[in-house]
Amino acid sequence: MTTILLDPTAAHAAPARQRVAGHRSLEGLTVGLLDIGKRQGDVVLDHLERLLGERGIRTGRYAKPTFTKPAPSAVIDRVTAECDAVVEGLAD
Amino acid sequence: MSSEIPQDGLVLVVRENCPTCRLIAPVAADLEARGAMAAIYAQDNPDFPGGLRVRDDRHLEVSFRLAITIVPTLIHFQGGVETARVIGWSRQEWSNLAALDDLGPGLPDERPGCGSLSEEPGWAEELQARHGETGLDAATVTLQFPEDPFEIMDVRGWSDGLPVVPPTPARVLAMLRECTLAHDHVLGSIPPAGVELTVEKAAINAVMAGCRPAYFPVVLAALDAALDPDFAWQGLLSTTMGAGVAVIVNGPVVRRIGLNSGFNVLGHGNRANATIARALVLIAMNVGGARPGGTDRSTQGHPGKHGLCFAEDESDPAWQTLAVSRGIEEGRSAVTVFGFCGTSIMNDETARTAEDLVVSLARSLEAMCQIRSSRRGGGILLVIAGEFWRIFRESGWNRARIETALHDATAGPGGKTPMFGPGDLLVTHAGSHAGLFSTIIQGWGSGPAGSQPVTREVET
Amino acid sequence: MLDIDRMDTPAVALVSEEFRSGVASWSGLHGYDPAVVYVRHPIQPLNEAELRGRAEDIVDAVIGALTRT
Repeated sequence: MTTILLDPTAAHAAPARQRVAGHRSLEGLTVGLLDIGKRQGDVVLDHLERLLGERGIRTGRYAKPTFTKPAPSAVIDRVTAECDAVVEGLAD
Repeated sequence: MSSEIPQDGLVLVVRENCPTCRLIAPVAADLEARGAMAAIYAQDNPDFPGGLRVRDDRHLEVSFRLAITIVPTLIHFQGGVETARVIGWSRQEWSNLAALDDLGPGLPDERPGCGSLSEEPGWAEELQARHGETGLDAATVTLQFPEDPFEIMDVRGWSDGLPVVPPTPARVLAMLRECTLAHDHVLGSIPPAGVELTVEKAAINAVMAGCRPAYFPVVLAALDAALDPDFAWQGLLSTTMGAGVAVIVNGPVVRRIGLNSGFNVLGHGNRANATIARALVLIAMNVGGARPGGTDRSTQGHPGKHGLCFAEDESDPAWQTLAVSRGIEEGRSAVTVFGFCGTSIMNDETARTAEDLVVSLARSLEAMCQIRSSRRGGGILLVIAGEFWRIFRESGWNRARIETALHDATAGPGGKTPMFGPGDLLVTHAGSHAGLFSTIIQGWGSGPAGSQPVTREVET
Repeated sequence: MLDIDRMDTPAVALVSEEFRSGVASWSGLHGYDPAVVYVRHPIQPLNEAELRGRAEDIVDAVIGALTRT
């Protein structure tokens, strides 16, 4: 006697994606600081911005409208158009 | 083997508990005596019709293969090909098919038959799964006796902790029969993995949640609502605050599927209430990949994370239903989804007027607003039980007036610190009619920056 | 993170160290292993000086993550 069950899980795993390579150096580049909207995250980013500035790295500030939802594509488009690298945070 | 259907001659399918089949038993005997009958198949009793050579089709395989819808059915085969069939009794047509005169002397000229057992609910899907093409896409897992499906499903991580119903092809086909969408229709992208959810995967998980097929349109409407970006399902599935999905149902579908809006409405004891929102939980886990301690970061969670579904009490025409207040046409069925982080009962056993109730409700609502949190409020779903509503109604109040009064009473001195933005306070009506209680269901975030309630009509 | 990576822009996520298992789970679901710098927990109740300390703790790791080739 056999019982047949249908698999309830996702049919396909996401295709693996290799992370894009980093830069040789951040000298002369702009790092975007993307605030995801969690409490106190902006303060950590403020300090990080100052510390990066002290190391000669340019920065720009960006923000998701709310941490509860994925970033709108307009925000992603802007930060990636204007910056060479991105720091996103702070998730807790 | 009963499955070897004769290549030539007449084949008759009958069942004993059909009056027409009993009526034509002498005709079957006559045809057999004259050597015209190749085979008789009986669906319920292989000794019927008595004294004849009857083949046992209690497993209904032959009935399924011959696509029998009504018994008796008389079919003529030639070289393995069906040339004609007669459904029910008709002296003229049976005589033509058998090329014999004088069939059934003394019988009425015509008599309709009865439904075939192979068409009975449950059997039809089971036979389709056993002997036909299911047309389903999902991978299958075959268990050999004595493997226990409940244990296997648990080990595979398909459950929310409680046992789940084995999603057999027959059960899934029965679920799919309740919707007009194709099984491979894509309903949307399920967080957190962002995987496409098909109707078929939704049906499989609805079976596992314990839903009856009749609940499926409600599950689909709730899914459509939860997939609206305003609901922020991904956020609800990830938050440390521990958020579940509440589904409030309105309209004729409530009575049709037996949803509870009365005693213990937010508790246990009713299958529709217990399983509809649970289907969404299983879909988020099994299709979306949301798992506690994985992407689900709930610090504590709450019992409602198993899924909460209930019907609004629509017994008093003076109460404007939640669905109507949210733009659904009167008399239509609808669901409203609400992301929530727990429930708290409040009581006021001394209140005599609407104004009394507003004071105590407002204090309870304020108590749920954490003063150290960076945000005030967060949405609230207030479930007013029968006696509270009686007091409001006797004071001449309606839904809109209750909402406005609660907005004003929680807005701080001079109305300067409103707890609720527009649409952040939902009021609904459910529970038994004795007991001076209401339940405050605490939302997660509110307004465009959080999770907003979403209402969808149920397609039936 | 995936959205930014798809634009060929190197990115790093700042995440509480309490969420290590969440990142692992998310990575498995999306087939993508993001660059992450973990921050000592907690963050939300900290005062200004403590938050500055958290930023000082991670700045070199952030630069390291964005310059890893």
